[in-house]
Amino acid sequence: MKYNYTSFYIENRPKAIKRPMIEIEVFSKDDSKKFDALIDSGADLSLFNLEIAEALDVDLTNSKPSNFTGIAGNVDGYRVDKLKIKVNGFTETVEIPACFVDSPSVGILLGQDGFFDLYRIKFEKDHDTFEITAAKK
Amino acid sequence: METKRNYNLVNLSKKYPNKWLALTKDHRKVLSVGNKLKEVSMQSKGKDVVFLKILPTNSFYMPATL
Repeated sequence: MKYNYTSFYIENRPKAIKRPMIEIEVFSKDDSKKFDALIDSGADLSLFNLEIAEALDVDLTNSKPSNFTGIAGNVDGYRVDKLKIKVNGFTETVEIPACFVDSPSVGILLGQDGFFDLYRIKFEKDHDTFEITAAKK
Repeated sequence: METKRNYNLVNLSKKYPNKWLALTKDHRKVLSVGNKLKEVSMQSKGKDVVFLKILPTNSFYMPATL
């Protein structure tokens, strides 16, 4: 499946910034919600805002504390081995490792461990598209 | 191969920096806005929506910057 990039506003920039966003459905034991998520090939792991865990009532009692280092510092998070998601345009659900972090600058980032193992992602920014195919196991 | 059209969210991101939004599936209409996902979710309960966290617009976004 091919997707166009999504355009966002940035102050003092004459043109929009484009990001590779996809819609995913995130599942908890009894609920699910759909979110727009940013594909981030530079992130080791997929990160989810902690408010998503609260809204979906994701059980974090058995999560593992984790720490993440970014350019501007560190943030603590709650890591779960399996979080069920479904990518819009695909029929199957998949489980990926994920970490929930309390950070105002994270919505959902889909990172290398898990997500990029399950999907082959080809960025073609020069064509304003990116392509996602299920990786053959 | 089919190309899924994505969206121009320039106006939305300009209007609602740092907010959680509940959007219609086609992203044309904002159904609820708030600082907390839970409140936005409650306001749009029962509707087929997509949630989006609008990131700060006063700087370029670097995902490694948490």
